[in-house]
Amino acid sequence: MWLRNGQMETIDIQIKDPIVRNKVDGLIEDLKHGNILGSYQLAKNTVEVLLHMISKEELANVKKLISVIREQGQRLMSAQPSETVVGNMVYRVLKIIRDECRAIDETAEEQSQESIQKSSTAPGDDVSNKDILSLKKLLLAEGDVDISDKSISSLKAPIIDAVNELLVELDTSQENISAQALEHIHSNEVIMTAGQSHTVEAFFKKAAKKRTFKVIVVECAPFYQGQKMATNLASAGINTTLITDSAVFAMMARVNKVIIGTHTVMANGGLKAINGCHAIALAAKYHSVPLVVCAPMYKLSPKYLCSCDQVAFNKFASPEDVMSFSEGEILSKAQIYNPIFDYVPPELVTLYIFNIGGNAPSYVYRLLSELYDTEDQEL
Amino acid sequence: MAGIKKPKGEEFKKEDILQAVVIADSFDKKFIPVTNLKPRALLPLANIPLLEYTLKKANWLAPSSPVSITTVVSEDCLSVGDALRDISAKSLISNDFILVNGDTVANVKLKPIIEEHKARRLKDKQVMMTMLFKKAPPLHMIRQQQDDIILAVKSADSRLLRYDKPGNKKKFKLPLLRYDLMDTGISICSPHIPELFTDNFDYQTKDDFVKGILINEEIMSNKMYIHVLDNEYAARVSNISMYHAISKDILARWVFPIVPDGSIADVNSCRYSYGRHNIYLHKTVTLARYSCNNVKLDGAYIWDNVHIDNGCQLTFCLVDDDVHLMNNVKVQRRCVIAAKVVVGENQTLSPGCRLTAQPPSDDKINTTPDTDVVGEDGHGWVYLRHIDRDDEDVYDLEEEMCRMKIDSDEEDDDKETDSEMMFLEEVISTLQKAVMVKTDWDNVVLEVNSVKHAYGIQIKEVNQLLTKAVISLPLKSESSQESVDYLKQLTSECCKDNSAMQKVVVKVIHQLYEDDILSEDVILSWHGAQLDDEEVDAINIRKRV
Repeated sequence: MWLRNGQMETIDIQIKDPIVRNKVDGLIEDLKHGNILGSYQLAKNTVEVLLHMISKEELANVKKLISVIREQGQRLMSAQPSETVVGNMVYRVLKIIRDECRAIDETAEEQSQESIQKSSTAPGDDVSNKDILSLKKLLLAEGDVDISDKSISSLKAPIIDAVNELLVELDTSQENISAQALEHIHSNEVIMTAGQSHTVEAFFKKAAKKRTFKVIVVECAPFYQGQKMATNLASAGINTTLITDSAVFAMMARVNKVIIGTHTVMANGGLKAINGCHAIALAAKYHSVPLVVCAPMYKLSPKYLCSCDQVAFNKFASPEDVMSFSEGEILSKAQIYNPIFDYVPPELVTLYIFNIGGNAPSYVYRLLSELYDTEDQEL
Repeated sequence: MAGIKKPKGEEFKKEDILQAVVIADSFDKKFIPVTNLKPRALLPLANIPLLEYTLKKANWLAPSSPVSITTVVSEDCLSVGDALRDISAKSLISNDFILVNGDTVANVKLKPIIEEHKARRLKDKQVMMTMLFKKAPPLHMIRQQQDDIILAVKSADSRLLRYDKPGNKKKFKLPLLRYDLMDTGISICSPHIPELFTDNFDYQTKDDFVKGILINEEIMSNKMYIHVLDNEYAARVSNISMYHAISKDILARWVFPIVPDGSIADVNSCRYSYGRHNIYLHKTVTLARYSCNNVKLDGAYIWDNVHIDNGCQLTFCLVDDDVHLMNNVKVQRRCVIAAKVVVGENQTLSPGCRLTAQPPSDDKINTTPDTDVVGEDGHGWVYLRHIDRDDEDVYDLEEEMCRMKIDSDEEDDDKETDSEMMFLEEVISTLQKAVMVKTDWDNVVLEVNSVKHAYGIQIKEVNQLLTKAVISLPLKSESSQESVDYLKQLTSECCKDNSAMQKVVVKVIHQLYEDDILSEDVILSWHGAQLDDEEVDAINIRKRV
């Protein structure tokens, strides 16, 4: 559908408003240099920039708006391909725009139907008119042809409202996830977690208000986010134990539940999480310990993993953390890698805790179809 | 040679503008003949011009960039000193500034360092400069022979007390000496520095300046500080071996996030995907399984639009834009081929060869290409370089080390030589000791000199005696292996010179054998061991023996 439109006419996809352009460029620079930390901030900044674009840009119709957002979204996504959240937010905003178009379309249709009903005198005609309309709708595949020519003026307000709702959803997601803490953490349980995740931290802190439990934190070398996490949890009064990555299997036998955060939930229900998570998941499987993943909805990505060498799946940081540059001679003789992420296949995950409630990995595809429009699968 | 400097101001607070001086010219000829057509700052490193690495952080090309860049062109600049004097004359600097070379590759966050520098300046107005160093112990890939420095640093506040190139035989007795640091070429300077350069016309380089400041420290009470980078990377592409080392570091992701698939890449034009074993592919590249026609590339740097035909072999070399290598060309180690050179079929370029497409300027009559090097259908000239010790580039450290040994041998032969028995004996024992303990040749030279003074011997006689000492050295050695080694050394030295010498050597060896000084098996094992030696002369000698 899109390709056909694109070929038919070249659309001006440059941003005209200088302030918006600066914002987009600024976000791209921040993404490139990794200035923004945390998926939540990334998601929020992206949505805010897109909201700006929608409200400030003067565009003739919705088709242009969509093409501008697609183009700029692509730029944002390729600035830091491993940050899937940016892409997720672009898809979400596109879905919102399309949905609003359809909603308007439907109300218009209903109105026209009503007017037809009013004007028509014979009941037989009325039925045939209705049939024709619904048939037309079926044929036109969700009425996409109509979207393109819609004037933006009537749509702007509802779209902005819906995007603002998305922002609210982002704000409240962590809270919504931690609200479910008491259902999953019971008294005197031993829970293992890995690395640092703000969502999981809030989850534990919430549970600790009512229940007493033990947390074992895996430190996650070479970045040692786990150490930070352990400090935070301990200072919140939670009984915390810090272990090395190699001790995971040994400790798993006494663990009741593994609760981890993730960087991304892939389309098949697998995880792109901090490195070491696959080993933890396998150990949990071996000991039949449930693996629970706390993930806000904005981490749900429509992308599949085809191979672990896939472009932009993993990120390789400077080997400095593994071995110091001043080590000297050995550096020219050895190859040192420092990958950041790990892929955890969906069969190792027991349960996802989203901000809308708990779901099994097999249900992820359904959520995807609710969140993203099929037309925007490839930008 | 024009020096282009780009001071850029970056606004932190309204009244506090940060300025930086980027010196785009390198003021040396390390990359010649490639730099004949293209300034060094624009040479591509991992497909991105060097200057980009320096300016990229500022995002200077974007219209929204908070940085303004002024280009200053000064035609009569011949050194860093001239450039800074020019800046001082134009009074462009009003605040603390960053002085950086256009060929620097770094992922350093300067802000905390600048703040540290400013805090120091608040306490003490005489603080002149904070220099940035990277820890790189001897033998490190990135450490260069000519950049060797010894620093004396006050450990409490990292104040720089001494700055010396080794080779000076002074002995230090200072609290903290550091020999494991490498100058990154980045320094944060106080606004008085351009003025100081103006006041002292003899300062040519930053080294001069630093030494000058430190020598006059007691009079002027100007102080220098250093900052050692821990986790961050910074280095200068100061010569071809550094180009090689830094390229490798970028590919091995030491400079993260400045990697080909990361932030340095321009989003719109080039994108690389990163695969296992540090392989980067442009997104438009598809590789067939058997796509190479016997072309062998090993550590080769190939720039834009290079045409390589079937059967070529390239080893550790640099190939500039638009070069055409025809079938079965062999390019050996350390070759540099400048833009637009064509090398004809079946040619082999000897190691260290530098080719240029421009005829040498000094003889304009000779406009036919050097066909013996580039072949009948080739186009290009061998670039003749001034024989200057400092100018010598060596590709990797291993070779550098070998060279050092050879150099020092020659040096000894030059200076060695001459009259009284005592002196001779003294020298022989010194040399023997030196060989045994593997002392630095500099020290040996020093010792020989002091012995010379002690016995009051003329320089002419010193020469004679030293030669004698060197030749008689193997005679005194007990083990046969040592004799073999000396024999090797002797022949390889002699055969370099002339054929007359070769005849003499044969006779000498024969005489030595007759006198039972050299045993038969020593000569035989020498003969066998040296087969790998390429020198034809050496083979000749062996035949005659």
